[in-house]
Amino acid sequence: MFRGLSPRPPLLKERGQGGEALFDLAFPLGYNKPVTETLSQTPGRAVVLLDENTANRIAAGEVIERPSSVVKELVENALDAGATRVEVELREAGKRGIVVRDNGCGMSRDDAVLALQRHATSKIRSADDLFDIRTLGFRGEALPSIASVSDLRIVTKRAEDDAATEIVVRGGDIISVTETGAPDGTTFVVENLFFNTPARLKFLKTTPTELNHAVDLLHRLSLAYHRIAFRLLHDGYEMFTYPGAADPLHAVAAVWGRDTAREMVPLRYESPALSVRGFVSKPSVSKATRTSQAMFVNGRYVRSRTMTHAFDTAFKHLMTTDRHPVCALFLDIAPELVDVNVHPTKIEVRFTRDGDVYSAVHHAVQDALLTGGLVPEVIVQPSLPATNSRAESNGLMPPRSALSSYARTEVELPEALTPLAPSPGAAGEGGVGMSAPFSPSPAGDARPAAWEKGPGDEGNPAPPAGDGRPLLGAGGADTSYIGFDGQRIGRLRVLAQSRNTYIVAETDDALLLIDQHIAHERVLYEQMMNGVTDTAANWGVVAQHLALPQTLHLAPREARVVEERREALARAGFIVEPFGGETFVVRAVPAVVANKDYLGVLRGIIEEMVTASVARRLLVPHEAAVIMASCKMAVKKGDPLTLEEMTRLLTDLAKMKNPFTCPHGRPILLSLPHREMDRKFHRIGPH
Amino acid sequence: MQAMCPRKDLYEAVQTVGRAVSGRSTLPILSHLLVAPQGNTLKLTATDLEMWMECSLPARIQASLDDTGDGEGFTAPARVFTEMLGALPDMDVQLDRPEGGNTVQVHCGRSDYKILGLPAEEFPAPPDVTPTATFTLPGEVLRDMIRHVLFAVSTDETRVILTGVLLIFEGDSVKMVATDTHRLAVRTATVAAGDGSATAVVPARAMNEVLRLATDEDAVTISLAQGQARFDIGGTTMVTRLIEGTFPNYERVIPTTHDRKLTLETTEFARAVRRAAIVARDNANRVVIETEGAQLVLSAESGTVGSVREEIEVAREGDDIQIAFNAKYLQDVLGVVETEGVVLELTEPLRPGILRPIGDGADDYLCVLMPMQVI
Repeated sequence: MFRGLSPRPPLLKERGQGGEALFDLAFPLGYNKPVTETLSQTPGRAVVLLDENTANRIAAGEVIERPSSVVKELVENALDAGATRVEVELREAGKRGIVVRDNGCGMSRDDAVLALQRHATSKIRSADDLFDIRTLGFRGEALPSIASVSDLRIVTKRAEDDAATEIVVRGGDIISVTETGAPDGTTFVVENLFFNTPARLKFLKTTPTELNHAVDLLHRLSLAYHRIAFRLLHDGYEMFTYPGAADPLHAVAAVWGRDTAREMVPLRYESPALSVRGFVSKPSVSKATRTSQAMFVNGRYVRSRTMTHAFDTAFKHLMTTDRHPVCALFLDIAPELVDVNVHPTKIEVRFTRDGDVYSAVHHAVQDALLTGGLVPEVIVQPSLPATNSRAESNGLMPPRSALSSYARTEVELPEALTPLAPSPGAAGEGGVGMSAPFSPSPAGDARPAAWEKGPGDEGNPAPPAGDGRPLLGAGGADTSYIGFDGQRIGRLRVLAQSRNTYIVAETDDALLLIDQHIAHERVLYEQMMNGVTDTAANWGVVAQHLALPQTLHLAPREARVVEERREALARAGFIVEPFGGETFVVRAVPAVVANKDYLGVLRGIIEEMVTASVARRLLVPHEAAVIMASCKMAVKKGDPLTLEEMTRLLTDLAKMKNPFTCPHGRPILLSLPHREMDRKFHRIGPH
Repeated sequence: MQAMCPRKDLYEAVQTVGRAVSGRSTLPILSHLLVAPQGNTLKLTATDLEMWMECSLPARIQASLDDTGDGEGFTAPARVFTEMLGALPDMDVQLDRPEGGNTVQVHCGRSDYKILGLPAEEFPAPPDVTPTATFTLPGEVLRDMIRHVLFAVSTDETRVILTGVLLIFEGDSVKMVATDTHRLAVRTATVAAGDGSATAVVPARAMNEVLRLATDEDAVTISLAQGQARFDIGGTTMVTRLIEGTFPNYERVIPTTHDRKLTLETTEFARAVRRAAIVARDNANRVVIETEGAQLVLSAESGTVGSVREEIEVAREGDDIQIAFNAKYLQDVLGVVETEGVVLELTEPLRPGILRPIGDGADDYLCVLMPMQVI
């Protein structure tokens, strides 16, 4: 429609000439637009000031990397404009066209024109919400950048205006500004992206890859802005839709599926300078990659080593290695304490006080896991407030001093920590984990309240050790009230078997009740999973071909996913061939599920691939089979066990990577800390 | 009614029909047996509403005055009744219902029981079977047929149609087909007497019962009707519901050509597979079969157990080949083939193979095996 407005060829030529000037200057500056012939033709020109179009294209090189960057900038604009509904439409993953439609506040005609100029809006109209740098840190660069490398059409209308404004821009030049009819809000239509930067165009990835970037992007945005409705269409297919909800858990469900959402535990941590909230999955839900972990700082998706490491440490005892829990973690921090202008796309951030962020995240996750049903309720109560978990770590000290002065605690602390200190696990956690990668900031005054009461802080003269100490203590607290880690198993004594079902045991700190079936199941599961991964690595997956190929009728979205992931399915043992439309033929299935409802298993996998397009793993058949097998082989409820058998089982269990839950996610052990028992019998406390 | 018969006969009959008693049901009557006089015999019936089993045994019947007529009987809980008969001494058992009602008195030697039952009218009557086809097979042939296909029946309840055996009767030939989508067994036989034509899918459980009930000497009459089938085996009648639905087009699965043909000695092959399976068990039962000149090498390996290599003699037509099968599927079919030799017809490593017997009845049986593939 707007093609008719201006003749294209002369324009292109004009742009081309502009480009020549750009390249021979830009190249030495490090902007790699390697047009060698223009370089050689112009050996010694004088230094000139870049024209605006050129400057925009340079900026575009940084900000607009791929179609999804366009989507990101435009959707963030929409969010800043107060939209409650954002719709994104892509053609060929955005390579051919991108439409972003919102119902936000819109722009006046003058503003819209101005917005296309670099730096104009952010500086001059700081009162204007749209480009307020405090919202999503928009620097006024994105829109002109996009405009400079594409055919852009903007249709925008404010509620108070009678007519909408339509602006057509090509390669950064405004072609026309007209009045038109449109609903309130703004629509951006981007076409022929990178038409004038062939190098960039050439390096675009395949459509599925680029599409994944866009889907991931919208997933993250809907997690961060759970009240906003998002919709992503690709070539007419609905790839993602989220209606917006007051409860952020709905966004989690939309992004990772309802089953995952059900296994999420809310987390919350507050301190004067920062707060952490969000959701983390129980250890029973985990992924092979980190793609299902989303971390946000002040509503902006970031990759932060500090946060990731703090998160991992909190999970260390619970997760099998190479598995990552699902999480959506939101850190709200005073803007002056974080620097977002590290990276052009603002994916990386720097914290003024790394240590604070680290301990906040660590505590938030740890508390969430302890209160969220992972470790059963008997021990939840004492561990709830951060201060109490400190007292808890001193389970070894004389009861009466537990709640008394911190001066006393300080004296006792070294003793309490001695058994942990020489162990490699504890050292890795406290020493390497803390002090090495995250050089501790000077003892913080903005430190969370809980820390200030920490004994290590006051007693230790050297700040670095002060930073390491509390964490070590926290780790110690963690393991001591579960009473069950590598160091302490030697002192675990089996006392009896109850109802031929539960093993009664005690540690130095607690009385334990262990479900024998679940414990054995966990042991067998981990032993077999190790075997299975070995086998899989050496010989691959064995697929059983079908005499009667089974047909699978799928929903359009599922069909597209299967089409794209056929190779991955095959690697998992499912050989699937398209059979026209949304129908597929299953030619072979993994031998481990051949005698089970293999179509059900396959459907489950497909569903998972659709709902969680970020989870790119297909180990399910193996794992499902192993879980089933381990459940069948394990000792049952009601089987009497000898003392030797029970001791062996607990020794094996202690070696497991996750001795706390069975593969189905049920708890293995209940712990009644001695302290808690003493309190219940009124041996300590107020009486 | 009063009836008398040897304890042993009654015990056997009760055990026979007891197979149809429902294990768990919300209908209490289904856990009972119906015992009714019929002329000079006692007729025992049990059902779980999927399968009805009737068995008659000769007895001395004395109708009492308050009996309303022929067929009036009583019910007794199957488990108690069976256990009681198993414990009684080997003498004549006298069943009596002096006061009518639902209580039966059992007298045997110096033992007296009063067993509480449920009203006989509550017992569900077997459905009327109006056959569209009836044919008779010697027990030996029928048992053989069932054995040849039963192992291939699917146990996956999500595809119910495959949990049964397809029975096709046409002209003078009867065919049984079973598949679990990984293998397919087809067995044909010629019928001495029969009329009509019909196709039915009989639940594997019913087929198992036929296999158990029929002796080689019996002549079994099979009547196929809409929704049900009846098997008359000696003095026992079994009626079963059929599985509804369309059985997959099995003929399309059977390869019509082959470029390689391996001739093997059945016992030797079966033994080699059995030995290889010990290791294969740990790796999805995968056994690799590879020809090396006049030798056939069977091998299997596992990450946790180790590996195995077996060599047997083979007569080969066509090129060398390497193909992998599920050891259990090979064992299943080799376990039912009774001929001295078998042939394995193959095309390519990822195409189906066919195992057939050699010699007598070579054309009557085949088993299609789908290969395994490592990805």
